[in-house]
Amino acid sequence: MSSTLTPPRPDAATPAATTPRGSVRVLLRLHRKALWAGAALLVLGIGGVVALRIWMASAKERCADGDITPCGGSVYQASYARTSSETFLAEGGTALLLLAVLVGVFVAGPLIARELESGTFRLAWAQSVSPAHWLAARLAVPAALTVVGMTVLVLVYRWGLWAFRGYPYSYLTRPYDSGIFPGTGPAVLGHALLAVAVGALCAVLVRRTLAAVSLTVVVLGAVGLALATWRHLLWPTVLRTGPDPVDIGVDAWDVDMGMITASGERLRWEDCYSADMTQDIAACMRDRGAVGHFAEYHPLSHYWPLQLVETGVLLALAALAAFAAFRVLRRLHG
Amino acid sequence: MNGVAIEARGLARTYGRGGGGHRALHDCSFRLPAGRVCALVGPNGAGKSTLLNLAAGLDRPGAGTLSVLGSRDPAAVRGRIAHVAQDKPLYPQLTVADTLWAGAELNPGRWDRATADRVAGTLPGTARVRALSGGQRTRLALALALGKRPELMLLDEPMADLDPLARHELMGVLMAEAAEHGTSIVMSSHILTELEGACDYLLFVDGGRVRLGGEAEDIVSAHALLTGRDGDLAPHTVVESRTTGRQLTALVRKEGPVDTTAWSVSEPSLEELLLAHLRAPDAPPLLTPSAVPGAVREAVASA
Repeated sequence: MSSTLTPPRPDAATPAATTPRGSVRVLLRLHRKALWAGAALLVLGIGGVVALRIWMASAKERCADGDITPCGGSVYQASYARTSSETFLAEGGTALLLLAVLVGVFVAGPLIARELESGTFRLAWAQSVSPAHWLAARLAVPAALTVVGMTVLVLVYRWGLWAFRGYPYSYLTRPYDSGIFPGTGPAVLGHALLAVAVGALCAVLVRRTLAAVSLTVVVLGAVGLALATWRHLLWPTVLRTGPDPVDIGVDAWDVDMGMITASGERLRWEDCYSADMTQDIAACMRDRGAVGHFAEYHPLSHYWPLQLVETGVLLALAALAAFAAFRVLRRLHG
Repeated sequence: MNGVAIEARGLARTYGRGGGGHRALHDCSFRLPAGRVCALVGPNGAGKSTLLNLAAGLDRPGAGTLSVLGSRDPAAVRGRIAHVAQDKPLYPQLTVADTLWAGAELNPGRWDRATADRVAGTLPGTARVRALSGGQRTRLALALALGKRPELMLLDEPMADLDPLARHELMGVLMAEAAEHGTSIVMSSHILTELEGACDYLLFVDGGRVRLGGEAEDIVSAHALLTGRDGDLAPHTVVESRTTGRQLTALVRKEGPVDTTAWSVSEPSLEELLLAHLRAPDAPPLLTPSAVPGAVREAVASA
């Protein structure tokens, strides 16, 4: 016998405890095909990199530096396997970003907006699942699966790029290249989580599959483009002046280069080009007071700060979007 | 069974914005005691679906209060409510068996598999929902609703796409469930005959408010169909009157004994009653004592 003062009404004893477990299991069953497709993409990604590495390893390189012509000769020729692999892997970061957008499209369309559009959300809500739980499952499951899958792909991708270490003339796969940088660190996880959150927000806002998908693509495209354009601002650059400032190393990221006046004012080569194409550029710059060169750049040591700041920005945006999605749903349905 | 299933006071819900919004419900007040099987009838667009959506916690009222199963927030007790929307939402890509499995997953601790399986009956377990006929979808949706063993069932046009045989059978299942577990059931329809006989309670919604509410029998017996020579109908409230030649036929709400010398009196059918009210939008609303919400009753009880 319970010791409470007011005995509970017999038929109101247990308000069904809604555990997220049931929601998650139903969600996984609903989208079994998409899960298989995701797993297939993962295997495809891993398999692609492994295949390229096997291809490279099986190429006949005569010398330690990967030369396939006589060692120490005046001609350096990389193997076809290596140059091809480098071309492919140079876009790996872009591929991972597109994959993140695909996740966002899936969350926006089939996962949420399609249910809102077709009315099946009312089935779940009438079956003891509150709207907040319903949305939470649709955010958490893709987020968790994407983070796991993306982490694997990032590690595999880094392992793939590792193959070009130590080779001379491997200029296509430098760490700061826009096709590589986003895919080699935690930033891509930030992109993926932002995609999930933005997809959910767009879906609850417009409640139409096609419109939600389109809006998600536009928003994620804008974020990707903005980061590609202004990524270098995420961490203070290093300014280098002196006789050979241009010699910042192959892997560093030159943000700006030009000449500098005695007072420290920067001069752009473009100004002299556009003033008169025919004149001597060096003379033109000297006339404008240039006394030396300068380079503004990110050394390789800025790789992790840049990755982490980008990740942080994306996670903050993702948290905002997810919060807004819950608020919108709450305003509409209580 | 002296609880209250649904109690609405001044309920309003407007769709769309500003002056152009559509007032689906407006100043809607009523009370539904627990354990009743209630017919929610009214013409198309009367606000039936809106009312059921609000009671199921799928939507929020614009004004007024609505308490369901004793909770001021219907969404908080959604585990104890079953709602079957008019379009019978089901996941098209799931099979029948998967759908019932999902029902069990989503209602931990409540799910009654035997009931769900009994209602689903002859549905092929391996068939995809998208391949089911309208009637089969209804059957599956009702199996999901009954499987969670609700205390209140809100069924929006549940029998609309069933053939008479299936309608009879499923109605029987519903009634048995209601009788066995004391489940309160609200069924909407714009065809009264679909529900007549099964329901002991009536809510007649028209123009966004409840115009008649209470025990069906009491509502009917509160009215009389009077036929006679032209004469004075006072003190009765006239809902509708019609003159054919020198013969006057009137549907009145009785306010005291009827003068049987002047009038031949008969009891109207429920359908006649509703049609008369539909034709007479200005007739005052009638709620039997059990259907009157709120403040008055509480004041009496505490006195």
